[in-house]
Amino acid sequence: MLCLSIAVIKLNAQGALTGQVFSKQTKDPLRGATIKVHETNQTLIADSNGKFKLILSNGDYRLSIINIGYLKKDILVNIPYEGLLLIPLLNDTTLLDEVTISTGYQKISKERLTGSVVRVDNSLIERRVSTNILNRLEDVVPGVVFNRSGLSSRKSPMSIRGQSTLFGNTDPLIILNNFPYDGDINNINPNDVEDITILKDASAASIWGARAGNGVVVITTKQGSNIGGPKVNFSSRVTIGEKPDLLSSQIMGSSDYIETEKRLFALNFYRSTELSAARAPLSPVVELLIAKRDGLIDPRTADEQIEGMKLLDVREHYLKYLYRLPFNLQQSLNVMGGNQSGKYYLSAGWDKNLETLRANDFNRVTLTANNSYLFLNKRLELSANVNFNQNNNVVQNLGSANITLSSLGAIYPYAQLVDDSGNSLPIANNYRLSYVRSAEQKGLLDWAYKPLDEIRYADNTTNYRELRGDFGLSYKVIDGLRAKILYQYIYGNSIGRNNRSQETFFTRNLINTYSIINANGSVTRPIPLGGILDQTDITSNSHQLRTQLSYDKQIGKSHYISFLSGYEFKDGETQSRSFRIYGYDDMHATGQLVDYQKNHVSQVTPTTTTLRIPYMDIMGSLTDRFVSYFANGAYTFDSQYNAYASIRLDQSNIFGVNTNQKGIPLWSTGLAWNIDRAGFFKVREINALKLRFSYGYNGNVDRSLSAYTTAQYYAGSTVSTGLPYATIQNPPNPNLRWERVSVMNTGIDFSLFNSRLSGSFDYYIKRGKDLLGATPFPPSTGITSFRGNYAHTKGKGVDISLQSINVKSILNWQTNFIFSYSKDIVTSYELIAANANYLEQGINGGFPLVGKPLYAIYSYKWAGLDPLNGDPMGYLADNISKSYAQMQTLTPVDKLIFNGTSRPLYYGAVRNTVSFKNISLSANISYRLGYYFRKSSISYGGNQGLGGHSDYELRWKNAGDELKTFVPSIPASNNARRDIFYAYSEILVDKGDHIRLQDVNLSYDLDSKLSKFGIKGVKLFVYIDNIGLIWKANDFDIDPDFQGIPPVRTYSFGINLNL
Amino acid sequence: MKLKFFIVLMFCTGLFSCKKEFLEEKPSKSLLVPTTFADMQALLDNYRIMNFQAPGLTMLATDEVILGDATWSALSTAPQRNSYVWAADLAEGATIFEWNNPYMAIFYANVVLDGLDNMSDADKDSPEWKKLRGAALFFRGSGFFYLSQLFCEQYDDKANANLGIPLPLHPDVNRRYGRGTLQETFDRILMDLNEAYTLLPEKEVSKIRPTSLATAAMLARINLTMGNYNEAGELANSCISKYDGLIDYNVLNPSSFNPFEETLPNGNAEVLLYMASVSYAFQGASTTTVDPNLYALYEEIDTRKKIFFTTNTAGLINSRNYGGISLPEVYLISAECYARNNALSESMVMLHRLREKRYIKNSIAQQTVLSRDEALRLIFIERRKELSCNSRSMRWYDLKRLNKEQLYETTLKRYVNGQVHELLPNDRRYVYPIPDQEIIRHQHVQNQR
Repeated sequence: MLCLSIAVIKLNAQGALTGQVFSKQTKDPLRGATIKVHETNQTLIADSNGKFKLILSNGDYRLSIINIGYLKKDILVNIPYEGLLLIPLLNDTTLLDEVTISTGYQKISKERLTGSVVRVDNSLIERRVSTNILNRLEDVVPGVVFNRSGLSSRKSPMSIRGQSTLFGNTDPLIILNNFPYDGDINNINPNDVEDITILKDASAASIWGARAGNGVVVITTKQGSNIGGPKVNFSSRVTIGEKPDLLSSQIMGSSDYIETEKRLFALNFYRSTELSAARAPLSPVVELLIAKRDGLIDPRTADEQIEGMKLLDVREHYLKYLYRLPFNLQQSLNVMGGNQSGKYYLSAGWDKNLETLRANDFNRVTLTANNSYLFLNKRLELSANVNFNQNNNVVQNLGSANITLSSLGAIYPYAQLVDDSGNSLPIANNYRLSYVRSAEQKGLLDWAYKPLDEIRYADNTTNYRELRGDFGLSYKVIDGLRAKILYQYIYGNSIGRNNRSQETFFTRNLINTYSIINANGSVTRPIPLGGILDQTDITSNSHQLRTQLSYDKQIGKSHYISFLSGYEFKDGETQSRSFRIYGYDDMHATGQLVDYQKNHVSQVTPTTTTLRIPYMDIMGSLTDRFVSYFANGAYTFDSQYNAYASIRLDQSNIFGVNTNQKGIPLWSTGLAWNIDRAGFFKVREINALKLRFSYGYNGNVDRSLSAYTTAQYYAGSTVSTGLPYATIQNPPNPNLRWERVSVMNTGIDFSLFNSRLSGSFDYYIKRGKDLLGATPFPPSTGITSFRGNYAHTKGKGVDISLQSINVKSILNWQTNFIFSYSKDIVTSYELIAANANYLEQGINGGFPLVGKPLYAIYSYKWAGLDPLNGDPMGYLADNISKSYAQMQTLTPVDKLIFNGTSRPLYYGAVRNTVSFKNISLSANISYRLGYYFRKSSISYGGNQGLGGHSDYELRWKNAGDELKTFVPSIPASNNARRDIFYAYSEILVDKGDHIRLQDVNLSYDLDSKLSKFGIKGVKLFVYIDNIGLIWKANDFDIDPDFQGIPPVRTYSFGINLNL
Repeated sequence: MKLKFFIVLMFCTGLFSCKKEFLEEKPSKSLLVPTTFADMQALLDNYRIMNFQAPGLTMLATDEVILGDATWSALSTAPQRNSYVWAADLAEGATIFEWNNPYMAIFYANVVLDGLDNMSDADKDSPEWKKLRGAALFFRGSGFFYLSQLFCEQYDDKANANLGIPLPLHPDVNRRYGRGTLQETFDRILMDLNEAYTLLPEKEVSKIRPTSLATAAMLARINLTMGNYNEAGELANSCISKYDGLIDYNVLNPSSFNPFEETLPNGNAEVLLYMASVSYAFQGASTTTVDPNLYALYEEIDTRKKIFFTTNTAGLINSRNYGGISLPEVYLISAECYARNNALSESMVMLHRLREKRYIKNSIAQQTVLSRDEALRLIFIERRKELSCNSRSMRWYDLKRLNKEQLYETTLKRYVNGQVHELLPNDRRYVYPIPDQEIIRHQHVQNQR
């Protein structure tokens, strides 16, 4: 780029060389730069003008130029050399230069990109500690948000730039190196990941076509390098967490619970259960009340025992006996290296997570070998990667979920799991204890349910193995033209094995339920003694093949063209089989025969119920096929003007061939201008400035739909008729189409003041077209909801990313600021649902309404509590009313209060990093603003709110309370409509805005001190995650994102060793 | 250079080498697009859809069961509580499965009928095709009938002015149908069932599949409801003449867990077609008891007293009758139609044919009556006793039907939490309201209660 003209003039044997070192970005001379001549071992320092002078003999020399804060540069010079040798150095913190971005198809220099792309480098990935690689993207990438409701622990709930589908798949497409990865994200060892690129707009993502609608995450794993080695890296992390704060759960306490039980008992509420033929269980308090009523116990003793139970809290037992401190260990070792003709990367990883629920754990082993070789004078590159991983998930402890009193669902809060001397205690479950005892006396198996023993006897594991092989050939046909074939094979096998021995309640209960006590006292057991083994095997095989031709060429001085085209296909098959063995003997691996066809008599309700032995043998076969054609091209003029276009056509077996043929190709186009390269641009303070614009389409797929009437076929062996039958899955929809999302993106990338301040700004408009929407249908059509291409949405947003180097000397202070604004509006949605649907499901995005965000909170207008009896009051046609039924059926949707969106409008994070010498401290503060949440509260139902929310304590009791509380009184009689009105009234909705100190990382580099031991680098760190809320807007004093139990704080310690 | 040319050629030809069949593979093997006879049969054999059309709530609204105050308060859903006291707002926004279930079966029937229409002419001549069409028409017609009995006025001479129900005749779920008149509803019910009657075989391998006998029984019931006593009587008699499967209850063991043979797959000779009702918590609740007035109707020599009813430890009386469209009802229809036409002795012969299988052997003689009214009263009592307390129960239909005749009208009373609730004959609350979900999405005229 800069002139480096070499005049070859032969003079005498010695010559002088004068040169000048300057910053490439600012053009400022670099004073104090070190110039080293390798051949003569000379070292000298540049003067205040960045200039230096050397006297050397004629010949070739290699110079290294080093300056702190800049990338080291090696150059070759031939002496004699006439004129001034200009040596530009690159700032090493520059965001814009020389970074290549992987799209999964090709690596593009960031300068030439026209789309919106964020690259997360290795150091940022390693800053966080997690088992799941995607979790490390939280709060570091603008436009990426992790939604926090109704989600499981290890699945990623991330969304990129809001949601552009209503009911389709909402997961971003994950690309692992070259191919889409559909497996479990937990199969990827985060220590093997080199970097992650997030493709946000159409121009970046549309190369992935019909599956790119939710954005694309490209994960690039570590490869060897062509320079030297072997380099060895070892890292180890230990994470310890706290126990979940169960005591913060807002549930009615024992005292209120028992008082409510007493009142209900007086109203004969338990009479039906007490007399039930099914022997439904009753709580200990109700049993005592019955005994007291029937004179079976001294009334004073009964009352004393009941009072005693008011002091008990089952949550304390949960914490003590079900939970422990979670402990995660993550170790990894890798070796990489290579030379001119090949490179390699080998790694092994081991994870062991002892989960917070006792006896549950997760283990993972990953092994990777990546190799590539160059042949035929480096024209042919062959690469072979093999990856194997195995993870093992043990779930013995289901937590409190299984500890229930079946007739009422939730367990009474005064339940106890162990007695004073530590023995496991039974609790009533399924049947009354009196019945259970009498059944045992008649010869049935022990029928007691002891929650703690269940954990001990459980044997429930899921084992997953995956073998991934990648094979690639890349051949340079002629200069610039490259042909490539990539093939990937994935074999996955998951075996779920739940061996419930005869000791477990599940098995004893099932055996007893079917047992018959004969007249002579013997017991016939249609379900044989022994365990019950449930096993599920799922095997998947997937082949993906891609062939592509690419052409990259610099033509003349100012034209650069790049073109890529190819096709790929995927053929994935999944076979599943699950089966059950009764009378299972684990020692000999044998089972016993049962009669599935016979109607057996229920032990509990012999006169009314006949039962069949559950038949659990199921098979399934799924096929997933894709064929895609793609092409893209880019042209760069004069290193400053860039144009890009791409097109892709996808076909799959999902919708049926006719629909695919109607499919239209998805395309995108983009422009970019590197203003800083323009001849007229002479602002010294601006190191880099680039404008980008792109427009195009991405797609999305819903795999569950078809253009035809489809039905699911069942063999019929499990039903009483014995006849095969079919269930209609989806009614015919001849107009079914792919969902499309158009994205317009404008962006600026900049770097100012010697790269002290850099960042990017993006503005986008998204339009979802032909989105699949579920619409409630009148039941007279035969269905209650229907999915079709009903909806259109419009979204817009802003992503800002700023990096500022505030202090730069021995002490360094850097601030990273990310900000996102994202707003979605439903622009077209044909049908209007009942207002109950918006109230109940709007918060989850279940019922779109035109002009409103997809995730919206609606509520009833609140008029306070009735001073006479504490009834909640609302409005009916502007008048204060308690006609709940009319309010609910007659209030038009537009008369409901629209509070706002339930997903944050503004979100982001501020990360400050301070480093002094070898110590570095960074803290990430995240914020979410501009959204609402609905607080849960008491619902009285048919049992005066028994076991409900702890707001019960705050309820209206006496006249005047309406001034102090908004919690309604206990209703005089059951009133479902009253509960619904209160639950969805505006009084329970508040702002969700909050600021959270997410995590802190403190690290220490030991490298210089240990080099004499052959250790190139050692890094120690401490990391604390989920530290807590700093500020929240709501008046309820609750964490809006975690209304149940907040995530536990975890502490990690790690070491990173380089050899 | 040849090699290079070859590589480029290989890449280009690869683009066209993919076969169409590659994308025709079904995403899941168990998924089917119904086209064949076997597919249609599988849809109709989905008995948990097709044979679950009978109403369950109506039993709460008749004089067959009694709930205590506590049991009533503890009922889990609003429709149950409100049915019991005939509250105007029945559902409180909840789903009414008495509306949804028949329409779901009608949708399946329409999918099958449409699929059959699209078959070749050769296929349409086959007995298989006729049988399937007959079965689909049966389920559609009977579905409309069950709906009309809850959501419409009793059929009478004002049927042309009263509202009917939507009558979807096509599987396209995007079509909308208005309520039309009650006359139109009954015209469609008769049209579907009359055609089904001509197409269906007399016997089937399972009790879930409609037969011509079950269709005759259903048509007899409908004609009786409409007051077409000649047609109803003829249909009932033709059914009895072809099949006389009444069980002598003297052979049943009243102390057995379940005295009746399981109807499915092909037991219980009295059942012509398995048809279950929407199930509710109250049906299994131990505190739901049989109305003592009903229980008192059974004499000690009536075997049904011990076979239909059990008492539990608390002394409450529970019912364990069997369900479905059954032969005894056909006998009762025949007897009633004879009586309506003043053929009193034929009527009593028919009634005795049923009663002699129900009473202890040789304990009763054929009854004699002096008037049509006397005969009808005997038959109505027998209907209450034979067809009580389950999905066979005709009490709701009989209350609606007989309230139109001043002689036989009934006033129902309930005592709940110290309050008296009363349902007068021909009260507007005999017509159930159409559920919110339907009204909101499909602006029908609501039934006023």
